[in-house]
Amino acid sequence: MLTRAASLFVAANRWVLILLVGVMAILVIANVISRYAFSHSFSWVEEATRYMMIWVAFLGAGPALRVGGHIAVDTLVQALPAAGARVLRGLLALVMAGTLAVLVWLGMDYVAFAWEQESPVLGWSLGKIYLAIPVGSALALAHLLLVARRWVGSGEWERVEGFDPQAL
Amino acid sequence: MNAILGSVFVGLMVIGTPIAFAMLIAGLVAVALKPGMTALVVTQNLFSGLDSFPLLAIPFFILAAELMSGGALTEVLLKFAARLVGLRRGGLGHANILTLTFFSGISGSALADAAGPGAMLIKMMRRAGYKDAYAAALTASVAIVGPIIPPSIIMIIYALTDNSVTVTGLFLAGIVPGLLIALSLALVNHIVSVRRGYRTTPELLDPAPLLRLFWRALPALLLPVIILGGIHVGVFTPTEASAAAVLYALLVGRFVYGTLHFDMLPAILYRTALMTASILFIVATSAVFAWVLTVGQIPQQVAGWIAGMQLSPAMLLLAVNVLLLLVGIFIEPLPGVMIMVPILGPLADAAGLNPLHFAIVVIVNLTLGMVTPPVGGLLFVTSIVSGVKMGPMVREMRPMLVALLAVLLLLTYVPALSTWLPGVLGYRN
Repeated sequence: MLTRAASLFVAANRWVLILLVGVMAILVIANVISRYAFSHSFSWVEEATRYMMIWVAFLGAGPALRVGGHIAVDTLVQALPAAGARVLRGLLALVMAGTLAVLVWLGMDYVAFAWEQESPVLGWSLGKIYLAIPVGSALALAHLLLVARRWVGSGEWERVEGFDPQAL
Repeated sequence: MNAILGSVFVGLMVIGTPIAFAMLIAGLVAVALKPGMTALVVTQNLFSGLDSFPLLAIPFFILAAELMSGGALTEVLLKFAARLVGLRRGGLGHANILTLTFFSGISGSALADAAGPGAMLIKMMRRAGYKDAYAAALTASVAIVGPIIPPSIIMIIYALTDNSVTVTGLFLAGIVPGLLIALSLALVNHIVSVRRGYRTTPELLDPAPLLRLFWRALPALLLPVIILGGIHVGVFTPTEASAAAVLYALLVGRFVYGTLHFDMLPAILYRTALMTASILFIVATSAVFAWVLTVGQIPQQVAGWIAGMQLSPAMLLLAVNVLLLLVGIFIEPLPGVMIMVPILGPLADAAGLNPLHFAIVVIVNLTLGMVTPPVGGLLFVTSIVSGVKMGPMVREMRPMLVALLAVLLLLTYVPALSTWLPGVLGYRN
C-alpha cells in the first residue's frame, strides 16, 4: 500500500517535470519561429517560461536528491569505515531534512508576503509563483524520507537510466 | 561573524553536506547572526537567483545534447575522425581525442561525454591493443574540453555570476583554448604511442570515401556552428540559440540519424529535468551564498588583503592558479565558479586583467580539478564506465597532467589565446 502510494507520488512528480520541460521548449521554439515567420513574438513567453524553469528547479530538487544529484564533497564519507560512514550519512540526512523543513516554513512566509503582488507581463500573483519554494521543498523532504533509510544504510542512491550525477 | 560563518560553511562541506545545502545553511546562519535581518532575504535570493531568462539556455543545451546523442552518433563521428587521423601512429588514440572534441561542440558539459561516447571509445582502444588504463586516462583528460568549447553550461553560469563578461564572448573565447588542450593531448598520445609501439588500426577504418563520412558527420558538426553563427549574426540571443539547437537536434536525431524515436522523449525530458534541477538548485542557493559574502564584505576583505601584498598582475595570476587548483581538487567546477568568482572577479578587475582572459583561466583551472587526483569527478566516472581501477589510471594520467598544466600556464600568460577570436569578431567582453 505504502510502496504503491510512494511510486505513484514519484511518477506524478516525474510527469509534471516532463511536461514542464517539454512545454518550455515548445514555447520558446515557437516564439523564435513566430518572430521570423510573422515578425511577431509574444512577450509573455519569456516570463512564463522563466517561471516554469524555476518550478522545474524546485520540483526537480526532490527527484534529483533521490538519485544523488546534489553535488557534495564525499572524500570524508569515502574514507570512513562502514559503520562510521553510516553514522555520518545519518547526520547528513538530518541536516538535509532540517534545511528543507526550514525552507518550507520560510517559503510559506515569502508566499504570503507576495500574494498580492503581480508579475509584470502576465499579471500573475507572484505569491503563487513563489509557491515553488515551499511546495518543492516539501516534496523534496518527502522524497528524502522515502530514500533516507536505504541511503544511510548502503550509501547507494537510486539509479535513473542514463543519468549520472557525477557527470554534471 | 565571518569566522563563525566560515567555519560552519567549511565544516558542512568537509563532512559531505551537498554544496547547495551548505550554502543555504550559511545564509540561514548569517540571518540569525546579523541583528535586524529578516529571513525573507534568503527566499528572496533563492528565487531571484533563478529569475533570469539566459538561464533557460541550460536546460535547452542539455536537452539538445540528449536528443542528438546516442550510439549511432558516436559511431558516425568516430568513423570520420578515424579517417582523418587514424593512419598516424597511435591512430585510435588520436581519433578518440578528435571524436570527443567534436562532441564537446554538441554537449555543454563534457563530463557526460566521458560516460557516453567515452566509454565506447575506451572499449575500442582496448580491443586495438592499447593499455586500458591509458585509454581511460586519455578519455578522461580529453573530456575536459567539453565545458571549454561551446556550448558550455559553466560559461553561462560564469556570465551570470560576473557581469563584466557575456555568454557569447565566453563561448568564442573558449574555442582556441579548447583546441589547444586537444592538441596538447594529441602530442602526449603521439609520444606515448611511439614509445609503446601503438600502431595504426587499419581494420577499423571505414572503406567509404572521406567525403561520404564527412557528409554523414556534417549534421552533428553543424550544431555548434548554428549556435555560434546564429548568435554572432544577430539572429538569436544565446537562449534562443539553445532553443533552436533543441529543434535542430530533434530533427537531425529523428530524420537524419534515425536514432531518436518519439517514445524515447519522456525519458529524455526527465533526464534533462533532473540535470537541470541539480544545476539550478545550486545556482539558486549560490545566490543566497553570494548575499552572505556581500553582507560579510568578504570580497572586499580578500581584495584588501591581496592588495596589501603588492602583487604584480603576473604574480596575482599565479596565486589565483594555485588557489583554484587546490579548490578544484575538492569542488566541482560549477559550484567552484559560483563560490570563487564573486571573490576573485573584483580582484582581477582591479589588477586590470582582461575579464575574458581571466574567465578562461578560472574555467580551465576549475575544470582541470576534475582530472586531478585523488578526487576528480571525471576520474570517478571514467573509472566506473571503463572498469579500470583509479590507481593505474592515475599513473597513466601523469604525462597528460603535465601537458594540461603547460596549456594552463600558456593560457594564463598569453591572454591573446583567449581574447583574440572574440576580439576579431568584435566581442570585447
